[in-house]
Amino acid sequence: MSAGHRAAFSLGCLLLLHTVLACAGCDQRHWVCEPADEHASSALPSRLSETGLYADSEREILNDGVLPYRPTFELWSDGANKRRWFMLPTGARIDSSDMDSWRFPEGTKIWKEFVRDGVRVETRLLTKTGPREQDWVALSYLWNADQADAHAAPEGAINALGTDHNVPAMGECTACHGGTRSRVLGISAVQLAHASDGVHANLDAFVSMDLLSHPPEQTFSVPGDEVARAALGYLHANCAHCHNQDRPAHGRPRCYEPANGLDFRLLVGALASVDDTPTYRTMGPVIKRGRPGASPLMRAVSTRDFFERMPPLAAERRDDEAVALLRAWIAGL
Amino acid sequence: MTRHPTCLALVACLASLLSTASAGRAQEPGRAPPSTCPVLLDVHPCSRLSASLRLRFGLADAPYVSARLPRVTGHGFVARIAAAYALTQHLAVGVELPFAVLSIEQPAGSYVDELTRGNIGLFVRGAQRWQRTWGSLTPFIALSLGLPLAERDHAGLFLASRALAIASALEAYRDQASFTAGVVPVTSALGLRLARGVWIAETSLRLPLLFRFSRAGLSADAATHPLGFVPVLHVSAALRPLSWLQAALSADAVVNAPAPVKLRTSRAVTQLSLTAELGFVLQEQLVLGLDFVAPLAGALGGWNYSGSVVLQVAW
Repeated sequence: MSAGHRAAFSLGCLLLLHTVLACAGCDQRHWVCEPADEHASSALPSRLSETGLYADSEREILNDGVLPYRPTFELWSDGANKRRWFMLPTGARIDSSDMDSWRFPEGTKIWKEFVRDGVRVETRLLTKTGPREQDWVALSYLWNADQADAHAAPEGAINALGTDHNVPAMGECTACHGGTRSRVLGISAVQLAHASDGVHANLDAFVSMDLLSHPPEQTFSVPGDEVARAALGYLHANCAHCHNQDRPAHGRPRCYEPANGLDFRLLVGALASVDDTPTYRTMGPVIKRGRPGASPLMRAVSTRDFFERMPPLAAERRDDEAVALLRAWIAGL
Repeated sequence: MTRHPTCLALVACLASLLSTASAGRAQEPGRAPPSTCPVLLDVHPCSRLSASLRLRFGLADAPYVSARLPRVTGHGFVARIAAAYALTQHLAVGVELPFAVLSIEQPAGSYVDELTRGNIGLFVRGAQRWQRTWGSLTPFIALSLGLPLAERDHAGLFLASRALAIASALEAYRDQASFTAGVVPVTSALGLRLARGVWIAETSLRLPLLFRFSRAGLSADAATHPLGFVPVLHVSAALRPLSWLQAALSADAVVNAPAPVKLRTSRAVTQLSLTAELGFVLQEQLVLGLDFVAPLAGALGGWNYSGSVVLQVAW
């Protein structure tokens, strides 16, 4: 091999390497997120018992002003049992002038507890730390083995307390919560529009407690038959926080930011019929009416393959009930 | 993240293109270099100064040190920039700068990019070549001191230490001295190279001692050892059938005796790995190398696969 051929060979190898490097380093790797500010966790209490949820954490006596709530449609979390609570600062209200995107006051705290296989594993805290729309900090608290208290886990945890449950790291929370303007996924007009069960605050309770700046002037109900309502609700709770056309701009590389035009939200102004919903209006690329086998959405929710799975985060098991529901819904379209 | 691998690639391209028009003829296989040439071993004969850039890419699932994060998974690049200078015919000094650009998997499934540096290595190497009619025998010794500049964790996300753990795994745990923070590594090594005709055989034993002076921000439940000892036994066989081509197969055995930090998910103390290498002599002063490293019989409780490209230039 002549010197010229060797030089050409080396350049060819390096160009190939450069291509590989460029692909590996491109900003379109949607699975890469920025880490959380490492000092943000230090602004929050190190123990759950200090966050204001419980007056007595061992006996689970809630603090004054802490209210339990339940969303109509729940996020799939590998079958974990979840409880939720919220607290507004005394005298404060939620700005509900935009009924589809509530703005919460500074000092709002929202907690969500996860129980897997009978073990209380973590309680997540989402708190509003400033006046701007994006001024939220999220942190998970990992329960001790004796269940007396939970400690802050900014790095997350793998297979916590001997279960299969993974606790997300701080920076992972914004991957989902950062996709909506309100940053709060389970407290909204649509999600609270369910009948009272005597335990959990619903939309009527929010109104009666004067927690909303602009109380709704009507009731909200998801359109369609039972299957359609369940499917629309599932997509709203599990997909709409990423797949919506009102994502706040952030000027950073992709972090689970879809590059398609799907919108799976349930909006209060688009509930007259199923065809009014953003889901029905935008689902064409991923849902083939009457043909679930040909629908890319079915392939995505049926697999846990890294590049195809939906939802992409915080779920290691397939939601078989949801897969069956969506298949039945698409077949009936 | 986009800029860093691109910059590395551009540097590598530039290093290649800097190989000048002088088209010196590569040494014929099996022919001994002049006896007055410095014995730098890793570089084409008769050079006094050498520099190299190695870029390794791989995937790894490695045991980690925390109860909350008993293992780490990631992929990316480990880079080494090294230079050596022959002070005399038998003595050379050098420096090595390791760093890594990695994507680290987070518990919920997302990834975080992390650029991290390892400990800078300063080394002195001595070798004596005995030339005989049947070939040559070259015993060598080396002593290196690591400057403890490996990046440490500063707060509760433990990104730097996880990146170092992945980098160490990508190197098949053969160089924990470079990728352990909070230690002063002192490594002694001795070895023997036998060259006969187109064949080269080599064996060496490296004895890294990792003296811990800081926890380097590790989690409170990480069990550190005041003195880590991670010897590496290396054996290799190479064939140089053509003046510009060399193929080699080598095996490394690493023993954590003990590891600088106790690994959570690992009950094993040894790591065996196999490396296949190809070397291309582009010009007398320029060598391009490729390798692939795979574990044998598991990897301290995880798995790791990597390949690398190295460019060596000598003057």
